Order: sequence, then C-alpha cells, then structure tokens
Amino acid sequence: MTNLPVLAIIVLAPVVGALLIMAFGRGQIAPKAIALVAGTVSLTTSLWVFAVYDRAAAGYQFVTSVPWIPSIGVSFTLGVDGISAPMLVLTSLILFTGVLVSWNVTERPREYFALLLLLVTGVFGVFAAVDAFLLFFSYEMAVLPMYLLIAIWGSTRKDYSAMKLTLFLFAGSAMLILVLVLTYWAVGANTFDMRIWASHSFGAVFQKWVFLLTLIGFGTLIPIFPLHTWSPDGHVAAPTAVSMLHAGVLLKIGAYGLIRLGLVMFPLGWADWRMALALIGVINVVYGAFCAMSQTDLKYVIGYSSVSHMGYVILGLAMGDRFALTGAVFQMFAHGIMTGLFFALIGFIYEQTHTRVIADITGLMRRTPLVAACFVIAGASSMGLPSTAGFVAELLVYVGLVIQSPWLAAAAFIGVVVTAAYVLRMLSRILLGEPSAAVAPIHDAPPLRFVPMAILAGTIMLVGILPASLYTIITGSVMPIVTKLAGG
Amino acid sequence: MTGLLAYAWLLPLAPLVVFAIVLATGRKLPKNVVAGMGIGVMFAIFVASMGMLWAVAQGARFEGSVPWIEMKGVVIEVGILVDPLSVLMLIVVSFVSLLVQIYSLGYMADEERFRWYYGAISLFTAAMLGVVLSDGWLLMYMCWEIMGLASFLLIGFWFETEVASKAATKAFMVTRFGDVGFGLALAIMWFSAGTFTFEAVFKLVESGAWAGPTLVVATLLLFMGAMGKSAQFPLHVWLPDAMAGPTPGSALIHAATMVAAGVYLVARSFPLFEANPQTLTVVATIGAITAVMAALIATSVDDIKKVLAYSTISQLGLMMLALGVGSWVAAIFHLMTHAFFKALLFLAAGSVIHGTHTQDVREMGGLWRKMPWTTAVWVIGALSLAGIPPLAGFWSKDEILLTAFHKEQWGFLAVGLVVAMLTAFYMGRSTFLAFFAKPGATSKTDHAHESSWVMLGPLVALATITVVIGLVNSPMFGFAFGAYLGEHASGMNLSLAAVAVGAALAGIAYAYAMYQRGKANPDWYMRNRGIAPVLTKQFWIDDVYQRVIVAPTLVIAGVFRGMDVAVVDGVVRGFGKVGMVVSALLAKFDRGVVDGAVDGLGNGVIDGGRETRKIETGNVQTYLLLLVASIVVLLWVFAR
Repeated sequence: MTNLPVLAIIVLAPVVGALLIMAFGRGQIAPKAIALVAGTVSLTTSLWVFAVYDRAAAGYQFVTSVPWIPSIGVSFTLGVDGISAPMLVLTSLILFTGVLVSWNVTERPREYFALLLLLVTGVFGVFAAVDAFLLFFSYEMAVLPMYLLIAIWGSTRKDYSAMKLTLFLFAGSAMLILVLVLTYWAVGANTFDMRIWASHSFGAVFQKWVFLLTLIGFGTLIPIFPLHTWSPDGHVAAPTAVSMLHAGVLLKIGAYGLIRLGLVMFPLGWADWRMALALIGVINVVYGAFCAMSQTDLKYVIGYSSVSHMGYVILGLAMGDRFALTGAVFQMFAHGIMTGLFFALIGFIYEQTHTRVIADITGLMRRTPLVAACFVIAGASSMGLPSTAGFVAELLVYVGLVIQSPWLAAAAFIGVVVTAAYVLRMLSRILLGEPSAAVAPIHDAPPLRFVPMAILAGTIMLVGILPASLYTIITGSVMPIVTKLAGG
Repeated sequence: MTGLLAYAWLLPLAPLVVFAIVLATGRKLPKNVVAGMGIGVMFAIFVASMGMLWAVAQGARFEGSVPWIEMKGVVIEVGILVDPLSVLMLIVVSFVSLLVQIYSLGYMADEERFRWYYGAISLFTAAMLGVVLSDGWLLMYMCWEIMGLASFLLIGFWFETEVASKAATKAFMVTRFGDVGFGLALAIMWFSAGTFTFEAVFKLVESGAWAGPTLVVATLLLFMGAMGKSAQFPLHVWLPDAMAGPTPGSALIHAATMVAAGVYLVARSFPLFEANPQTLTVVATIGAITAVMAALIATSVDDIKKVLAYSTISQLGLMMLALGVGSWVAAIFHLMTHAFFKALLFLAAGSVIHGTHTQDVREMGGLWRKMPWTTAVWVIGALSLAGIPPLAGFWSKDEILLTAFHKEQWGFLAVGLVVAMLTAFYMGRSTFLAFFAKPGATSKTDHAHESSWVMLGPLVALATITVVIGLVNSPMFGFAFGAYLGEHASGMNLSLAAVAVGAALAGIAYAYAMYQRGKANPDWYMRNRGIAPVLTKQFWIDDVYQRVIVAPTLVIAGVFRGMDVAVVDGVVRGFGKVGMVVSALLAKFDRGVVDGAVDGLGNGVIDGGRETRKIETGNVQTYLLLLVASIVVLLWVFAR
C-alpha cells in the first residue's frame, strides 16, 4: 500500500476541476476538457482502489485522517470498505460518461460543468467518509448543485421538479441532523468517527426510534414508498448527465447511508422495523413496475423503474443475510450503471428527435442500430436476464428472500413479470417497426456519443458474466454487518 | 478421442465468435464470407461432436468446472458435462443448424439483412450448445435466456412489420413468464441444496438430504420454465405467432431445437422429477392436454407453417407425456427423430413458400407436378410424423406408447393413440390440399417452380436421415439408442404397434376421402357447429389472456399511475410542507445544541438551500461562488 492519499485525490479532483473551470473555463471547449480530465483522474484512481483493495482483510482501507473541527470531534477522515469501493467506481464511471454525454451542452457550459463536478464531489465525499459529520456534510453539498442543474438546464416542469426534489431532500436531512446529534450525544465520546460509533451499543428504545428517523431520512432518498414522488419528476426534468447522476448515484446514497448509519449502528432498531421495511420493498417493486407500465414518456418509465428496482435494495437491506445484503449492494451498482445507460440513450434520442413520447418513436433499430443494441442490453439488465449485472443482483436478493419469506418472494415476483412486460413493451415500440417521422431523419450515435454508451453497456455485461470480483469485495464487508444483525 | 471431450467448452464459443464478428463488421464483409464462417464453424462442430460420440459410446465422460463466484467457503461453479445425452444433443443441434444454414444460402439470398440473419443463427446455436453442455442449472439458465433473446431476434427479423414485432414481443414475454419459475427454482435450489451442479444435487436427492415441499415446488417451478420454452398449455400461445420469422429460422429454433429445450431440461433433471411422482403426473397431464388440443387445432389451420407449428406443440406434448409416464429415454428419442423430420417438413414448407409465394394451403394444390423433389421429401416427413413404419417417427412414437402401456397408464395410452390419429389426419389434410388435390379457384400455383439445389440438398439429407434414424432403436439394431443412454431395452409389442399404425392409416384415409376426393368444401370442422368456433378461435386462449391478464394489468397500471399523482403525491406535498417546517425548527435546535463550527457550515448549506427557492438564473454565479468558497475553506483546512 502507498502513502498517497488516494481517496483524497478521488474526492478532490472534481473540486479542483471546478475551481479551474471557474478560473479558466472560458469558451465552449475548455470547461469540458477540464471536466473530462478531472473525471478521468477520479475514474482511474477509483478503479485502482477497487483493484488493489485487500479483499481478504475487508474493513476500512486507504484511511486518511485530518482533524477538521477538533472541538466537537469532527475530522476529515476518508476510508473505503467493500461497500463503498464499488460505489466510488460507480460514481466515477457515471461522472466520466456523464461529461462525455454532456459534450453538446452549449448553454453556460462553464457553470454547468463546475456544478456537475461539485455535485460529484459531494457524492464522492459521502461514499468515502468515515466521519459521520463529513458524510452528512458531503450529502448536503450534493443537493444544492443538483437543484441548480435541474432548475437551469432542465426541461419539462423544471422549476416545480427542482423545488420538489430540494424540499424532499431537506425534509430528509432534517431527520438526519437529528440522528447525528442524538447519536453523537448517546456515544458521548466527542467524535463523529463511525468506526467508534459502530462499536458502541445503544439502548433498545433509542435504537428503535433513531433507526426509524434514519429510515425516513435516508429512505426518502432511496426512495421508499410513499416518499418517492420527487424522484421520477426529478429524473424527467434533469438534463441528461444529471439524470444519470441522480438515478445512477444519488439514490444509492440513501441506501448506503441506511446501511452505514442504520444497519451498522442500530441492529436492534433494524430488527424492530425490518418487516415494515420488507413490505415497503415489495410495494416499491410491484407498485413501481405497474406505474412504469402506464407511462408515456421514456424518462418517466425509467424514473418509475428506478422506484421498482430500488425496491430490491430495500428488500436486501430488510432481509439482512449474506446473500440478500450482498445482492442489495450489487443491485445498487447494477442499477446505477443500468439507469445511467438508459438516460444516456434517452438523452441522445431526445436531442435528435426532440421527443420522449413513446408513441412518437419507432424503428430505432433501423436508423440507429448501435443505440438500439445498447437499449437491448440495458433492458436485459432491467429484466434481470442472465449475463447482465441485474441478474446476479436479483438472484442474490431472491435467494435471501426465499429463505426468509417465501410469500414476500412470491409477491415480489409479480414485479418481475410486470417488469418484463413494461421493458419489453417499451423496447419493442421504440426499436421495432418502420422509423416514425421523428426517427426517420436521425443518424446513429457518433463515436464521441457512443463511447459512454459502450462503456456502460460493457460494464453491465462484464459484471454479469464475471461477477466474482465485485461479489467478493462486497460480501467481505457485508459479512461483519450480517453477523451484527444476527445478534452476534 | 477421449482427450477431445475436455475441449467441448470451445464448441459454444466458436459460433459466439461468429456472432461477434458479424456485430463488429456490420456490412463490411461480403455475404458469402459471413455465411461461409457460420457454415464452416458449424461443420467443424458437427465433426467434433461425431468424434465425441465415438468416445462417449465407449464409456468416456468429462466434467470440468471453474468457479464463477468464490468467497469464504461459498463457491458457485459453472462448468460443462459431456455425457451420452449432451453429445446426442450436440449432434442434433449442430447437424440441423448446419443444414439450415446451407439451405438459407438459397432461401435468404435476397435479404437485405442477410449477415444479421447468420449472426443471429450463430448466436442461437452458441446458446443452445451452451444449454446442452452445462453441468448445472445456473449456466443452463444463463444460456437458456440468451437462447430466448436469439429467438426474439429471429422472430422479429422483419421487425418493420407489426406482425413480426408483436410476435417477437409475445414470444419473449410468454417464455419469460415461464422462466420466472425457472429463476425462482434456482433460488430455492441454492437455499436447499447449496449447489447448482446436476451431480451434486442428484446425490442430495438420492440420499434423501433434499426432500419434502421445497423439492416438489422446485420441480414444479423448473417445469414451468420448460412449459414456456416448449410451448406447453397454457403457455403455448407464442409458438404459432413465432412463425412470423424466416422459415429456416423457424425450422431450427421453433421446430427442431430450442422448443425441445424444455423437454431436455426435464430429461436432464429427471432424478429430481422421479423423486416426485406428483410432479410427474402434472408433467404427463399437461403434456396430454397440450398434445390433444394442439393436434385438434392443427386440423383446422390453413397456413402451412402454422399447421407445422401446432403440430410441433402437439409433439412436444407427447414428449412431455413420455417424461411424465416415466421414460426420459423415450422422450429424448422422440425429441431426436422429431428434430430431424420436423426440420425437414419446415424446410420443405419453406421451399413451397419460396416457390409459390403463399402460405395458405387453400391457395396451393397439385404442387407435385411442379415441385417433385419438394413433394417427395415432404411426403417422407409427413409419413414419419404420422407414424408410418419404417420411418423415424414410427419408432419413437411407438416407444412412447409402449412406455405408457408398460406402466399401465391407460388414459395416457389412449391420448397417445388419439393424437396419432389426429396427427395423421392433419398431415394428410395439408399434404393432399397442397400437393395432390386439383388446384382450386384461389390457387396461386401457376408460377410455382422447384427450388435450387442449395435448398434441395439439405432436404434430401434430412429425408435420408428420417428414413434410417429410427432404426437405431429398433430390434434390428438391438435397441442401440436406449443402450447408449443407459436404458434396458423394453422390447417391442407388435400388437400395440399394429393398433398405432391402424390409427394413423385411418386418419390418412379420412383425410384422403375428404380432401383428395371430396374437395373439402366446407372443411371438416365447419360441418360441426359445436366444434367450429372452438377451433377457429383456438380454444379462446388468447382472448382469455387478453381479458383476464393483459387488460386488467393495463387498468391496474393506469390506476396506480393516477393514484401516484393524485393521492400519494398529494399527501406527500402536504407532508413536504410539514417537513419544511420541521426542518426549519430542527435547524434552530441544531444551532442551539452543537457549537459554532457546525452552525457555520451545516446551516450555511441549509440556508443556502432555502435561499435557492427564490433563485433566478441570473444569480447562479453568486451562489456558485458561495458554494465554491465553502469548498475552498474545506480544502484549506485539509491542506493545513
């Protein structure tokens, strides 16, 4: 291992990029180039971290710590374990591809790319934080750029959607502040270090209610039913790269936070609420799938499909055994890549045809075979077909679910069938048939646009065919949590 | 030769590479090069499979696996198994695929997406070879779904037409429904047995370590997957529609090989099913219902491809019946002979369609004068399907009837005989109408012409196989087929065979009287008011699905969507307002409790967020600056 603060490089490369863009990013090309360089630095560094992370040792690695606000025990402590390392890779992949798909942004590129990088800094900070305060701080830092990016560069009811998103997320943060403060007090060690928090045993009543607060606070972000309605609206209104980050990464912060602060800290509270959580998971899966089926706008279909797919993450967290919990984290990664790809594709189609209405788009296979092939791969992962990442994730969650609650598994299976139906319905409408009037004049993605699609599609297949590397890194860090949840 | 077996894993990869090349090169390669790659690779696989047959027949076996996922005691392996059953399937798949690809040189010559067609056929063959070589259910399931995708691509080959795109979607959806069962069976298996490998699971079942309800449910769910792929009632509705694809593709995928994968799945998993008599009864019953129902519908269909499609469903039902009454060898024997003669019939039908540009038997007639070779091979295929000795279909159908006879399953024996008669009748019907009856007023046969030799060659090869292949399980060759798969010969029952042949001849005779001599106007079922609507509506199964499943699903989806906007969002909007008030209160509370630094940073962000509600685009830079400034503070702190 090296003494280089690699995590700091990952987290701070985007900030430095943002500052450089603000300082020198005049014209159309400079901001994009700087953003691309920052993205490349984060991507290569996080891939390196993923590769050299010691899977046998598990636990936090690459830890760097600098005191920040010593008087209350806040420190700038970064570290990754097997759950956060894949999330860093996911985030940097989405950032890198997101910058490429935004190459055609001509309105205020300087502010756009600076905000995009700031948003990602916040997300990186969440995933790399060992300090609970830093985690919360980073999360808050991600929300504001999100608001601005949607409100300025968005489409379709952008003001409404941006405001709704912000209100929801701040409502969630209100709970989380309470969680932070209460836990900080209860531990009473003048520290926000989550490693120390995790070794503290909290009283049963405390756990019960603080877990509930954590569940609502982070659950809003996952999003759990019935606190989900901000999410599809936000997906739709956001510009392409922001939709990718929003669905691909931001939703994962919710699940990630719930694991870090909820499951790890309050196992007894988890036990109190897990059946409710499982039920919410099934509702998410089934209800989200049905809602997706009747949508007419491509982005809304994917927006509601996120509600449905994140249901598997919720189910995995509720089951809490080694398979389901590993499956949940696997699904966080798989869903992130998959929706990232979907939004990149839809963004491209929207740019070309100026419509996202399913009925107006047919015959893409004839006009844009490359884009169509990527649609098929994303759709296959969405349906959980083997040799895609979605299959591995769903299989793991279902193994856990079948063991513990066959009836919930059976109920969730309705979601699988409905998912196949809406994905297939959408794909067959837009891909097959003679090109419609909107599709007829368009051309297939040029290399610059195809590269990000190919990266994401390739990742889906790679992880689906060779899941071992991702599986082992996740499960190594999931096992201690499973032991703790089982009362060990 | 034994060493050859260890390289069997290369077989599925070779056509996969062809597919990848087609994908990567698009239209850059000449058509002949693409077709040549596909055919060459398939020929090599066929030769290698024959070599493996030689080795396996002498008792060689191979099993090898690699870890797919491995962590702290949990290992999920994927691997290949080369045994008599898998080698037999290798030969059937590679041989039919080879002939279909040669035939397609002629049939698909004028197609714009000629290369894509060969790519999709190669993808399909790779997946199917993977299915039959898998040493466990997990890898099998993975290849199984890729096979489904290839089927989707080929049914939707002419995706510009609505018929093709709807049929492709329907096929995928219905088989996917069955596969959901397969997938759930995998989850149960992992939890109950802790492994996906055939051998390991069989041992657990034999020793009784895995038994009880989970095993019953797992077998039923596996069978659900088989029902989808093998088009068993009530999941059969996709197969007739699948005929929208190119005919040679249908011959390979929707007649000879992929649709038989369900039968293969049950045969491969037979020790699990054998341990559950109740599941076997379900299998036999579903098979029987499917066989009779599809045979009945086939007697009323005028589209020559759909006659064959319903016939395929019916024959697959017979195979399931054979499995259900307890003989997987009989089922596999029929699977093999059926693969050859049904591919023959489909390719012959393709030749007819190519020559006449119609698929409706009422628009044909007297083709034997214009297409003598096609007629000859069709008749061989039809007689084989009807179960006339000494053709292949006779021997394999006899084996199924004999099993039911020995197990004293009289009901299923009767079903077998009824199906034999119906089969002979509907094949007689289409044969007489298309090839021998005088052309009617609507006939389009004036310009019919015999097909080229590149198409007739494979037909003749298949016809030859159809004549001789049944003999491998006849007394003349000492029931070699059964012995190869490890089953003791059950002999032959001449009187049962005589009854079966009698039933078939009766069917043919009735068809002759009706369609060759009687002009068949109106058609047989139109003479009976009770049965006519049942058959013309195919037992209303599609209509029932439309009303009971599709329409309500769409209604529920619409209701949920409306509810999401009106109720959930409405409540949540109110909740959001409350949340904002709480948020403001908490912020004050926070300020009072945690000291200065938190105040500055935490509330800075929250206040900033609240401020942004008033934002106008003109102010972005200000806020951006604020934001960047706070990051700079952080950076400075960090750098210190």
